[in-house]
Amino acid sequence: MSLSVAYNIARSSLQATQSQIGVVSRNTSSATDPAYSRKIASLVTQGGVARVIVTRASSVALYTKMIETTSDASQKAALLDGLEKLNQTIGDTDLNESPAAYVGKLKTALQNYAKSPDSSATARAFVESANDMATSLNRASLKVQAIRQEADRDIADSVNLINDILVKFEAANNAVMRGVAVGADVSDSLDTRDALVAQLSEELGINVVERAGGDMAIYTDSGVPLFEREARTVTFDRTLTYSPGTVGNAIFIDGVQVTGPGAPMPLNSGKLVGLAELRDKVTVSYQDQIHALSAALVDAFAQPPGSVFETDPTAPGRIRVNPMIDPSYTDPLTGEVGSYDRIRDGAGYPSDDAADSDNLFRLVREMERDDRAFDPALGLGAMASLQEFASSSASWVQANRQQTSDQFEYQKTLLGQASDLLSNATDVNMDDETALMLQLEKSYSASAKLIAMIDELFKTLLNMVD
Amino acid sequence: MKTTFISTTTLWNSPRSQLDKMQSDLIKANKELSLGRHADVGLALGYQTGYTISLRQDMAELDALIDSNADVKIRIDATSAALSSMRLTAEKFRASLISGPVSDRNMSVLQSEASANLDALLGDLNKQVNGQYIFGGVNTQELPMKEFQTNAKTAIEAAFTGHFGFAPGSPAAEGITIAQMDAFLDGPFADLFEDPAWSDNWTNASPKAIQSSVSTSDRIETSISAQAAGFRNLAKSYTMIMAIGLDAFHTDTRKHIVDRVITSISLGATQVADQEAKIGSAKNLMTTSNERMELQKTIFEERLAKFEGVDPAEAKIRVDQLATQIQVSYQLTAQLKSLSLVNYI
Repeated sequence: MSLSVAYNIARSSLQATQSQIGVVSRNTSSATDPAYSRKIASLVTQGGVARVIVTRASSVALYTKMIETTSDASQKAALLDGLEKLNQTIGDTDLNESPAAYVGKLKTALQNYAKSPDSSATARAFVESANDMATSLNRASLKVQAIRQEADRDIADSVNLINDILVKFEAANNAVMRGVAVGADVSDSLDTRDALVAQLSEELGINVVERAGGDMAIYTDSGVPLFEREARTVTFDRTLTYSPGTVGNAIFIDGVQVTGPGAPMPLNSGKLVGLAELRDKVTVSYQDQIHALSAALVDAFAQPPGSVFETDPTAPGRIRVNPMIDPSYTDPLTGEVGSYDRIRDGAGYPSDDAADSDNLFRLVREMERDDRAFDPALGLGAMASLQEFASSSASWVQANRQQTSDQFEYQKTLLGQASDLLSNATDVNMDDETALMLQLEKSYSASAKLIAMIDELFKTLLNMVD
Repeated sequence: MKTTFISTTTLWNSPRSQLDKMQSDLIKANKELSLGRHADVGLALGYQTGYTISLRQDMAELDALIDSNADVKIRIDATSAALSSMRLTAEKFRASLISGPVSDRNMSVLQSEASANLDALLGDLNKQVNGQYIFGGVNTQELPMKEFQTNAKTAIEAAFTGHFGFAPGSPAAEGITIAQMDAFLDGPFADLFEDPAWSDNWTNASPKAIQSSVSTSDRIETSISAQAAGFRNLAKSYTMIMAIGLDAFHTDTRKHIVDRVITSISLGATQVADQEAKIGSAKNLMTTSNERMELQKTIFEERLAKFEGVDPAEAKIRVDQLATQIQVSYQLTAQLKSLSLVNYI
């Protein structure tokens, strides 16, 4: 009988409207969650019966773009963070705390000493300045080691996080595949999965591939599988202490080396790449520069037994001031007492005259010599004076920092744009939802009216039968 | 199909999405305004940072040179004062020697005058400034002139006795002829004022003068050593009068000696004047160096300001602009609150 068919249809429409309202309230409640994607309740009528199918708004192209930009931005962020720490060894030019500034101070102290060689005050000032110089270089070298150590620890943390995310991803992926198989609403599981991928993209550059049955595979941007049917393991051995020349371990994914020289499939972006670059390239180059400067200082002031600097026998790459030029020092073995005169007299310039400054002026010339040879591989030229080399090294750090900062700002802007675009494509507009709700309200009351009307018709019919 | 869909998150965030950047820019601009230089010099200058570090060191070096030149100037001033006092004394003595015939003179007055002059000469040469003996050459820590009585005087008397066979002042000296006296004065006596006797009997000074770099490029001698010939000639002149028993000689010999003294003291005074000129030109060079370095410093400061400085007026405009922008962004955010469909149903 057609009246009861109409009644059933009106009833199903009522139910469909209810589930549509349910989706609207789901959307409204999650409007501020950036990981949430808008759910779309589409009405399907089959044989006159209304049914609601829930899908979600998504844009693969925009999503991929956002993942890529996230990786690039976090790579630059990690590198920039490290360079900011390196910058602490240089500081503001106004503070005169950089090794380059200490080279200048050392030369000024030496000039003063050469001018009044018979004054123990200027001699002491020079020795103190030499101590400051050595301390500044050693501190910079230690700082670099600390930064490398931190980067190594950050890599280990990042690797742990990746492994965690991959395990969670496996669970989310299984939930999606199960849901797809039984035709259930998988939109929330898809959101969870997408959020995990976004999180993963901060750590390393990835590509995602969607496959049949709702399955998803993740590859690194170099093509190493991170997740394919099951999570692959990312492995990394921490190096606990760094000393000059220590080579940090590489990262392996599923047994394939992805960082460091000789990696067959090297990662291209993400925090891991930034950290590896920091740990293995930038800091190493800077430390090499510091050590080259230390060695050049030792060389410039080499005049046994009155050498000013000597390599520290207890720590590689570090220097110290020869204690025998300081009168407050007594050699514990020979009982010999240190003396400023050793600096003044040098090697081959023995003199008893207090104001003889020939050797001191020779040292000034040594400091000014601009044909001092340096390893061109350090990137600061083959020949320079001590001051030039030290200043170039400071310039090198600042230039790197400036460049990375610019690139980071650029990536950040790109990321902002990509997020806005993605948000526009997949997030909720509350006004839209409100308007939809009004529409649903009308359709609900129409269906309800219809039921009431059919009820009336039945009543009339039944009354007539009576 | 919605072609211009916008999510609520984007809409609400849009006015304040740049807010954190604007706020950090505001902090930067404020700092630049108050300091007059870039908030983060290293980041702003990049590869040019090393240049400003070097520039600062160059300036510090100039400052140190100018400061230490002041010390050198004290030494130079003291040296030229001592030199001019020695020269004036010598000239005065010469004037008194030529003022009248020797025969009329009271020899003991002349001798005590010479003795006082010698003392003054040695006193001047032993002058100390800031703990440095200024006439010691590079040997600034040892008294330049040795004690006269126990060193030079003994040597002179020994030379006299060795040559003539009797001590100075002995009655036999009456018989010394002019030729004999010349032989002594040009021989053993003159030798006492030449090396190595001069260093043995008279002085500890080093012949090497103190070198000072008065500017980054100029290194000059800034002291006079007691080894200089002028001092020897003055000492020789004074001792000829007071140390060889002048009063015991025959009048002719005595007159001859005084004539010789007049010649040698003139020579000594001229030589000391030469030294005065030399130290004066060192002082001149130092003064011009100082002026040049002050000028250089100004240039360096300008260059530093060019690199590290910011235009305060521009920074102020930036601060105002950012403050306005931030305000607008706040107002827009507040207005969006009322823009909701819910408010109209």
